[in-house]
Amino acid sequence: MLLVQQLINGLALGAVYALFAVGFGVVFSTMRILNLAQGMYATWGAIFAYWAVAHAGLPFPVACLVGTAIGAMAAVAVDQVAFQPLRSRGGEQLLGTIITSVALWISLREAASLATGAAPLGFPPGTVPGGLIRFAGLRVLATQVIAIVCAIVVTAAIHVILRHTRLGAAIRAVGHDRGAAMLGGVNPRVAILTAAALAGAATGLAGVFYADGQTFTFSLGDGLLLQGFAAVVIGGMGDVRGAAFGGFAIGVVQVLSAQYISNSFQDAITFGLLLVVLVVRPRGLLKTVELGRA
Amino acid sequence: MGQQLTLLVSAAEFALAGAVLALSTYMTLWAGLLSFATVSFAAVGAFTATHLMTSAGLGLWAALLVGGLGGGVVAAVAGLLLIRLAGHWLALATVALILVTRVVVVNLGGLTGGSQGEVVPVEVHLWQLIVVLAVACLVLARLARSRFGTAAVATREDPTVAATMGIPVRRVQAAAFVISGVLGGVGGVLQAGLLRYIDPDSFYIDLAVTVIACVVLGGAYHWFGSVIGAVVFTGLPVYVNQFIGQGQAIIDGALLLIIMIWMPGGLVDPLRWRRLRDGRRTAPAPETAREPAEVRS
Repeated sequence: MLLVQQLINGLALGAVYALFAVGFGVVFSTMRILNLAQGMYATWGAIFAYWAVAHAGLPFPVACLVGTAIGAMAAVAVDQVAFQPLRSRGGEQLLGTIITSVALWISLREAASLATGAAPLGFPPGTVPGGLIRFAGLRVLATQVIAIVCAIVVTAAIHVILRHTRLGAAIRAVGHDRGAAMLGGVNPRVAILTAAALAGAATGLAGVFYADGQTFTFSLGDGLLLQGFAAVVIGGMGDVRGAAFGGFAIGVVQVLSAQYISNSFQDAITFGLLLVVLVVRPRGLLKTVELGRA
Repeated sequence: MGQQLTLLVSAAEFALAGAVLALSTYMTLWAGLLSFATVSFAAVGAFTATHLMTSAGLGLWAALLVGGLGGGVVAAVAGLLLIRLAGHWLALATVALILVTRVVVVNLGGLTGGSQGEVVPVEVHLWQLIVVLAVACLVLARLARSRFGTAAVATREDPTVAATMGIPVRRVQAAAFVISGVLGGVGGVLQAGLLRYIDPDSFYIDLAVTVIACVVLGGAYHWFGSVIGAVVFTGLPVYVNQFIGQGQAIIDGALLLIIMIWMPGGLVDPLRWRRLRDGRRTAPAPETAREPAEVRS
């Protein structure tokens, strides 16, 4: 019974990683940007959601929407400030976008530190849905259910958008070959901004869910960035389903290893797994066909 | 006045150690590999050397040798496993390597002091840093004029063409990776000697980010760029810190962004200088001309 209970806890934690990893994967697979500023979307999403609840007195679902919207806006803003100038110049962008994403990372981080006074924040008691579902001896928090359901829904939605709509086809086309996509009648700017907004929205929501059960500080995004990064690499990033799978897997592995092995080996096991996957299956567990790589 | 001098010396010392680390990353970029692994090599070098300095009473020069050796061995193993990954996958893998390195350091408490870290018993002085950096620069300058240098440039510009012309691309890249490991290990020992106290977070993502910023912003097309980059991005902040209080990171970020957008080739950009010199004859070539990699992606 403990095992099932911990599995559920792991899935709930993994839901947060999954949401983050989906955002990370969308940007990496469509735009080939290793976006280190991504964690900051989660931080700012969480901070604004906290403000919405604690200072504006808004209900939790609205706060989730606020966090999501802030994440999306931050992603679009970062894209326009940090990545668009490099894109319009053309040429190899991986190196340049890493530097500019670092620039935004440290700036947004410092801004978050100043905005919160570097103090730990926590959603006031009673503002987060506190329901406890008892079922066959299991105790499941309402927030855990919400996180898991949201992660699955968001992943499915982004997957459908990317794979089964014209807009998604446009995003993938631009990621594959911008020039050819333009010849095909795609407006690359719209496609790129949509992809960035989708990624930011998923990440912002991840930040809110990560923050709602504990106290958090402006460095919330840094931890998420590392875990989400591991999730993306493990799951494979050509496909958002792989990223989500990686996120859930890491959540479960972390909770189970803390329960059955040792708390201090939690990170060792996660990142050890990461290294093994990198060596054995460098493209991730769910391998996807990558076209057009020489 | 005395305090100013101390600060200046300290800034210079960190700049010099940073330059060695930056050269390590430059080595891999030279052969067309984007790698963050320098920090892992530095961690291996620093912790191995510190352990031996404490337990076996090693001096600085011996410690540098051991550190370089340790970094080189790890680089050889990592290179064997990781070099076959293409472009951005290698970047991801080396970021993961840094995460794993930290975990290993934390869990090898007996050798590394675990999460508490350990004191570095040997101090590094300015002149020693100058000697080490000078040797490193000399080696790189020689390499740049050697067959290896030419092969590395060819590999970076276009691996397929390089292979067609008979350059053993994988071997060039593996060699670059190992040299990067040696430099990284040496740089790690120097960094440890400056910090006087190292813990798992001394060699983590933030150092990786600083180092790669030094190389790219200093100029990734000449080894001297890494040195200049290190002076500007590791030395200068140490000195400037006294004038700026809150919000320094915001200024740093803005600076990175501005340089990256308006000086894409970095501060030391031989190509741009050549182009400026030849500018009166022909219209300037577009920025994309020297980077055929994007055609494929």
